[in-house]
Amino acid sequence: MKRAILLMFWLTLAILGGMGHALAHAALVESHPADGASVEEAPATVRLHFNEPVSPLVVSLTDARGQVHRGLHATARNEVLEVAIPGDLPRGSHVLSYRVASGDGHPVGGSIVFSVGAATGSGPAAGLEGNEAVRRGLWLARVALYLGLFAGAGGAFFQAWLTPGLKAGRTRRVLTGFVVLGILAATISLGLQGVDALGETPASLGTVAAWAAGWRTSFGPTSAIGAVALVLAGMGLRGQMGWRRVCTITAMAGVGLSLAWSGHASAAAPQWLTRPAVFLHAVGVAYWVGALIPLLFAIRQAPAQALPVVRRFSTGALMAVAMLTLAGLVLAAIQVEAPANLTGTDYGRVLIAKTILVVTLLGLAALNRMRLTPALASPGGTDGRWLVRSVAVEIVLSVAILALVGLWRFTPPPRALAASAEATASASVHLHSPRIMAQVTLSPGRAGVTRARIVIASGRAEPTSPKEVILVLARPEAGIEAIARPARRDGRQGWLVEGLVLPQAGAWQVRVDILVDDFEKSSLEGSISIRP
Amino acid sequence: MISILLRGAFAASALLALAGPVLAHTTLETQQAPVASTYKAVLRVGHGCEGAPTLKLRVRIPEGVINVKPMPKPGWEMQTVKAPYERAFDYHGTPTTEGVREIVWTGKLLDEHYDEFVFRAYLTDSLKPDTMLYIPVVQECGGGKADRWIEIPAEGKSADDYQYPAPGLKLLPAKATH
Repeated sequence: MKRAILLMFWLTLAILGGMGHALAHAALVESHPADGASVEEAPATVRLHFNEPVSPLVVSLTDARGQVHRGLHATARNEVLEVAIPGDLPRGSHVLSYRVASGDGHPVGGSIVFSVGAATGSGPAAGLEGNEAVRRGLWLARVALYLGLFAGAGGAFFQAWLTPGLKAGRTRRVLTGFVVLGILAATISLGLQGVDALGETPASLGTVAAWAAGWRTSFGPTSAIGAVALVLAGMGLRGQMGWRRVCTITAMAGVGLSLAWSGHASAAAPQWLTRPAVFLHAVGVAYWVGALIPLLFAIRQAPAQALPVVRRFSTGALMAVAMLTLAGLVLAAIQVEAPANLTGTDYGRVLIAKTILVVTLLGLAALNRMRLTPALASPGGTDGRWLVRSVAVEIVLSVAILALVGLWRFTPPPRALAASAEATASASVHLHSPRIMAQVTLSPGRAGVTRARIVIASGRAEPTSPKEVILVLARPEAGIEAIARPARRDGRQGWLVEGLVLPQAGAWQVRVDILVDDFEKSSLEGSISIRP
Repeated sequence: MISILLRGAFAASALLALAGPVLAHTTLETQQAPVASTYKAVLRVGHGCEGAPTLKLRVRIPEGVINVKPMPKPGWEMQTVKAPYERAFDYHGTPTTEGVREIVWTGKLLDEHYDEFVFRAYLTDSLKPDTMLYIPVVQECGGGKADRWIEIPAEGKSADDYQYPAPGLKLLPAKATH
């Protein structure tokens, strides 16, 4: 009996004594790489340094692709835990989550975030800013490319298919000029596009990187196809009629293809509708605009001989105009989305201006067809003087329209603006207890790099000024333990955490630890939904 | 014999249950006391803040705890902060409206050492028996670090759910008056 009691006593002492070294919860003191750090190359191991000896329970890593590597091998030596990192880490931000048993037996969990190369990007920026000179250059090059494609390739088509038997010496020289202008513009656009994509200055146009970057943009194929179409058009200005017709009709298809390959309109959904619409729109424009210069020369040279040519063109033009108008309306409807966007956005305003010019152009075309072309036929008529003037005005209007359309390079359509606003939209959650409340806003509210703004007020919505605010985010079901970040004061009631990396979309547990004063701390908990 | 062994095992596990959290945090030595009595608080500090030595210990006296008398400590400078109470308390027939609200000990305690900090106070009968009374403590350390033992468990949770729980004691009903 006495022995048994004594035994129990010693047993108890032994157990207590065994716990003696266990004085505290373990806490992470530092890590290599440090929490939040960026490293050039993926580390082979991550070292976690605690304030006391720990034994690892679970260590997992969520990589930049969102893939979870569970059960990583970890070795503990004294206060240091060494975790072997998988070898094939991609660039971007990774979260290493650990659960360790501290000496007192309490499991302690936490996460550190480190980035290889750079923090996981928050997606492509709107990219509207950029060097002013580059923008101007891009616009000029774009307008020149349009002139080359429409006036040059379209003109070559007109010459080959609609004006057999007319002398074309001067017209051919002018058209060759447009073709060369177009080829130059297609080339220079490529470099400028690259400079713009890299956010560089025009000086870097001399670097290979700029051109390579330009080639990698969707504009690369546009430029290449456009240049090929222009070369074909140039070849189609001379030689046998059969050869010329083959070259120029291929060039016309190239014009459509080139423009359908890139740009806001072609990028819109549904693609099966937008790309063919851009193709038809471009071919229609090339037919119409391409005819203007050769027509002008033909009528001025010999009004009487030009009459059948004008008639032939006029028949085709009716179809071309119908086609390009229809395609244009379809595209406008897709891009603008709502009538209010017509006046509310830059894109819409450019569209309105373009529409006014196009309607004027259509009016002139109708005038030509109804009045001035028959007048050409009537004996003792006006020698086509009025028709020449009208076509000259049409040319000026066309150039103005192309100049306007070139502006669209810089004005994302309302459709894209809405999508981009959606992407940068924030995620927000309101947390409260009877004594204190916090509004946590993550912007952008999607996976990747984000910033958190926390506004804190008392339970009665009066301003308070806490001493410290710590934001804690975790996603235990995905193996991501608490990522804790102290917030810094921002304004009167606001607190800010910048450079926060959330590697996964989904529901995250969010907690705000608020040190109200030296002796009072409040924790508010909730959940926040992060978009992919 | 078996029953004695069993009883012993229970006693041991009960001790363990007490000892576990006691050893882990800054805690009170006596973890229960009746209201309307004088209580001797012994705060046990087992470590510094993440390895840094403790340079200051600040104790917040909760409302309803009056007549606070800290025990001076060799090698430590002691200060008290007095302030009015939210209401008047009866101390053996004397209304008391103000007193010590905070005790501050300043000195140095290395991370690898242990020490105790003592004060005596009267637990007024305004405190509700069968509830927990928490005495928040802030441990300020070298390098600007601080461990704040100030977390008061929310309803349905216990001190074990927190990393830095405030030291607490369970209030018992007042002893029968003589």
